[in-house]
Amino acid sequence: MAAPLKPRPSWNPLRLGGTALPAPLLLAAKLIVVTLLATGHAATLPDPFLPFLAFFDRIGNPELFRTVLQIAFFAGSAALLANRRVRLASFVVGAVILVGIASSRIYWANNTFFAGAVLALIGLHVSDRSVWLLRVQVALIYFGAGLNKVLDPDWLSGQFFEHWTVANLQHDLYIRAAALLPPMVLSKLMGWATIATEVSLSAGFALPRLWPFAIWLGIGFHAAMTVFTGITFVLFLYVAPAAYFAFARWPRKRTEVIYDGDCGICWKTKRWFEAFDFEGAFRWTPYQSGIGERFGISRAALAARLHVVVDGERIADGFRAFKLMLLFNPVTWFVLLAVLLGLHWGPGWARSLAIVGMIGFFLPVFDRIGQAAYDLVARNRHRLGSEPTCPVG
Amino acid sequence: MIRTLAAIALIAFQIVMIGVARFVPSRYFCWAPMDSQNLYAIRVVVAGRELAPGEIGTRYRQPAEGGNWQAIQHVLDKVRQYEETYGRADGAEVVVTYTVNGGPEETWTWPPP
Repeated sequence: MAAPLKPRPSWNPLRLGGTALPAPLLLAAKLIVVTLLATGHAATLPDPFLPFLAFFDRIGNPELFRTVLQIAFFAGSAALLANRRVRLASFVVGAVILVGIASSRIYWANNTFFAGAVLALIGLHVSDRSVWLLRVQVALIYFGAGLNKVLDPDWLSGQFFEHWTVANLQHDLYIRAAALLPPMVLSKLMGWATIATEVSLSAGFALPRLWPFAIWLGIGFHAAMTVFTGITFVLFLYVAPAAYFAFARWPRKRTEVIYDGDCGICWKTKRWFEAFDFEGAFRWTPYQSGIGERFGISRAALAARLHVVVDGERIADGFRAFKLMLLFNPVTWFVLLAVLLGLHWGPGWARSLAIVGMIGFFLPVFDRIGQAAYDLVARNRHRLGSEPTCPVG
Repeated sequence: MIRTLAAIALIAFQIVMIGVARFVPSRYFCWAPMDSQNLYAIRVVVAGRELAPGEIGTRYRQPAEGGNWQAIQHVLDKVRQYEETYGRADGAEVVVTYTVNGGPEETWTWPPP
């Protein structure tokens, strides 16, 4: 049987094991903190000015207040990334943001509050049962957004969308498409579609059986807005998908990877994946060892495709297996985030291209294409693999 | 238990604010990101002298003219709060003209008429 994962906390930021937080929550917190650091958020932390709570106006040294916020922000971020006191660290960074908001209306923004609330809630995590609070937070965001819009006459009439896209964005494609329809029809449709999406997201995140649907809908929604407008909505593009890790089914044990031990390209693939498996979360075993029988997988199937077995029950093969190996490796998420953040100030088309590529690769509807490409390589793997085959013991 | 209660309080606060938003023009803590597209211009006269745009930007820490993706009330709240507190002794006269989602131009003044 696969051994449970019980590593010690590592100083390596790319590792997640052995801390007081479940891996997906720690990953979510780290991705948000990396985003905050990379976008220079510390520089935006405020001194008390037009606060929501009058108490902050009585602070004698506003600049010292701001410096304290910044020091706490950096200390919490460093501790979180280094896997030290991760709950406290996440809470501190979240609290810094929430206190900053309370101390200044200038600093207030929905995306900032979102980041602060998610980090604070992760920091307040108690046990697996308490993850529901973070899930409620995610569902609540979309509920509030949908409700605010459905009660706004400008959203219902299409006036918001019309003004935004035509006068503000001057979106050429949208203007051309709108011209094909009677006035305001496309804007009304877009407004209603946005409301329907946000209401669906709140319902989807509230009902466990709809979580996979909600996650993809949410990712698609934020990605579509970014591709459509060319902007990231400050932190929303990064923080929203990170918060979805509260709904992730993360492996509890080492994931079994069953491969062809008599194939050069498989051996190279194994070495490559193991080089980035800092957690030791994957155990590679050649199918020739007979391991497939344990999971009821035939030798013929194992000879045709690589298989992964997650928690001894969830089996995937071929392209889907590769995707799972990538999805359950934290390094993948840091790489994807690095690509997006690298394009944060770059041209909108490049960011859009990266987003479409990422989603296209992982979206289940494209599995057929991926599986066909995988099978093509797998069928010819003995010709492609130039390295000597590995010995199978 | 304290951690759970604190988390519940944070969530409950937002639920309350979603309810509050039904009765007030502001949209704080209730998840209304970029729900309106506003254009505004602020004019300020202090002791008979009209402030330059840069002075207005420094005074309220928001541009004298610009766009705003939150409720327009948030722009007005900053001006009102400043004039009620830090700038109370100035006796400033403020006029904010604005449009919401491309609608008709509206005017807000301080002190209130």
